[in-house]
Amino acid sequence: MLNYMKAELYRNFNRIYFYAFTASISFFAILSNLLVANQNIGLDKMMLMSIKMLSIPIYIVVMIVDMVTSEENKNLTIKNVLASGLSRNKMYLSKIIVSTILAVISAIIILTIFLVSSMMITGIGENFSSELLRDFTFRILSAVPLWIGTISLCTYIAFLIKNNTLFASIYVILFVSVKQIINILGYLVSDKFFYAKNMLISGQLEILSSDAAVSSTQSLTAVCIGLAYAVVFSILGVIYIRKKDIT
Amino acid sequence: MTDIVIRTQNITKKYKNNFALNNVSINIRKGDIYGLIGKNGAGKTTLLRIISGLSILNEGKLEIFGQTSESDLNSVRSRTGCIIESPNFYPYLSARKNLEYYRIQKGIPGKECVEKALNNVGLSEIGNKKFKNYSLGMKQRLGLALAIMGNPDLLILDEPINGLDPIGIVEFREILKKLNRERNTTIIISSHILGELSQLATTYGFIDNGRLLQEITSKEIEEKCRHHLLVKVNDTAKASVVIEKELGCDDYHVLNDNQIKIYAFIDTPEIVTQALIKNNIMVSTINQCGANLEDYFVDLIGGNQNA
Repeated sequence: MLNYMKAELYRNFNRIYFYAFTASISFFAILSNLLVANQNIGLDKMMLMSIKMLSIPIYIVVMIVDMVTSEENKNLTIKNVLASGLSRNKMYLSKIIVSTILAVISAIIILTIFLVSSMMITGIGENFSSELLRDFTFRILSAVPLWIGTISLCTYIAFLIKNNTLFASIYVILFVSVKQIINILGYLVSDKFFYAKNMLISGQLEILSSDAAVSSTQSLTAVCIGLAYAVVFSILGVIYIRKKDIT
Repeated sequence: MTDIVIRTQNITKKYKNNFALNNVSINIRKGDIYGLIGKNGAGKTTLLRIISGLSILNEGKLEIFGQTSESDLNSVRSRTGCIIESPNFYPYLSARKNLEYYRIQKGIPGKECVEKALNNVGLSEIGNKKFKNYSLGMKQRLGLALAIMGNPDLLILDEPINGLDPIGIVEFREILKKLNRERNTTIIISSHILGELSQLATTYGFIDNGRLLQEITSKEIEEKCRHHLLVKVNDTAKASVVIEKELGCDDYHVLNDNQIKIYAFIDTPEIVTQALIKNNIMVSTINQCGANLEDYFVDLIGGNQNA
C-alpha cells in the first residue's frame, strides 16, 4: 500500500497538472490581493474574507480526485496495479490518502502564497491580532476533516461513474442541489429540515464560515461529520470495488 | 511442494444469463508455456482476467502457486507479470517514467531493472518519448516490458503479439523462450496466431463457448497431427504382419474399427494397397491424413458444433 502511494505521488509530481492546478489557484490568490491593494484592506480583512470561502475547496477537490482517480478510468490503467497483486481495498484507500496528501500540499502552498502576498501587498492591517490568527487557524483546521470527507465522497463517485465530465458534473450538482433542496424544504415544509442541513458537509462549512464565533462544540461537530463522511464513503467504496470487474 | 502453478476447478463466470466461462478446469505446471486457443468471445480473456484478479468468478476455485484465499492470491500475484487486453499506460508519462511508476508500486529494488526491461524489448532509445506518442507496436512492446520487469515467475499474456511487426514477433518469441529456458518461467498465453503459438507452447487449452474442450500437450498434438495414411482393412492383425514384414515399416498404430495409421509411404499409398491386396487383405479405404494446429483447432471446434 505504501509502495502504491509512493508510486501515485511519483506519477502526480511528474506531470504538469498538479503544478498548473496549484499555480493557477495561487495566481488568483495573488490577484485578489492586488485587486484590493489601494482600498485600505489589510491581511486582517483578507483573512476574514477568505473564511467566507471555506466552501470553495469542495469544488476544487474535484480536480485533485480527477487527477488521482477519475483519469484511471479514461486510461484503463487501474488493471495494471490490481493484476500485480495490490488488494482492491488497499488500492481504494490509497487513492483517498493520496488525494488528501496532494490536496494538503496544494492548500499549504496556496495559503502561504495568499498570506505572504497579502502581507506584502496590502500590509497586515489595523485589526490584525493573534486572536484573529488563532480564529482563522481554528476554522481552517475544523474544516479540514470536512474537506477530507468531500475527497472520500468524490472518490466514491469517481469509481461509480466512469466518464470524467459526468462524474465531475454529478458531484458538483449533488453539493449544490442537496443543500438548496433542504433549504427549500426547510422553508416550505418544516423547520426540522434545517437540522438535516447540519448533517451536510456544506451545512457545516456554512457554520464555520459564519461571522459568529465558532464554539469548540461546533468545531467538534464539524470534525465528527467530516470524519463520518470519510469513513462511510470509504466503506461504501471498498464494498463497491470488491465486487467490481475491472476494465 | 506442488509443481502446479495454476489450477482452476470448475470456474464459472456469468454475465447476466450468459456464461462467459462454464465449469472450466485447467492445470498449468511449472515451466509450462500454456497456449490458450479459442475463437473471439470463447472465454480466453475472461479466464485470464480471473487468473490475474481483474474479474470475480461466480463459482469454482482458483489456485495460484498453491494459494486459494483472496489475500494469498493477491500476495502470489506479485510474482506475476501481465498483459491483459491492450497495454494501457499513463499517456502523459514517458515509457521510462511509466515503468518507474510500476517499479515503485511493485517494490522492485534497483532502478536498473527499468533499463533492462526497456532494453529487452528494444525501447531504450525511445524510452523518454511519451506513451501517447507511441505506435501500437511500441505500446505492445512496453506492455511486455512491464510484464517481464522484475523477472516474474508467471507470465499471463493475452494476445500479446497483436500489433507487433514480424521482427517484433520473432524478438518477442525469443524473449519468452529465453525466460522459460533460463528462469523456468511459467507462461500462459492466448493468441489468434496459431502458427506463432505452435512455436512456443508446450501445452494447449482449447476453449469454446466458455467451455474447455480439451487440454493437451504439444507432444500429444504433434502425434495426432502427424501426417499418415489411414487404412481400413478387414483384418488388422494380418495387415500388421504385411506392413512389418513385406513393407519393412514399424512406424504404425492399430486403431479401433479395423483402422491402421501408417506413418510412412504417405506419398505412395499404392504400394501399401498393392501389398495388402496381394496378401488377400481387403482394403476398404486408404486416405492421406494429418493436420497443423490450425486444422486441429478448426476440427475440434467444428466437431463440437456438430455434436
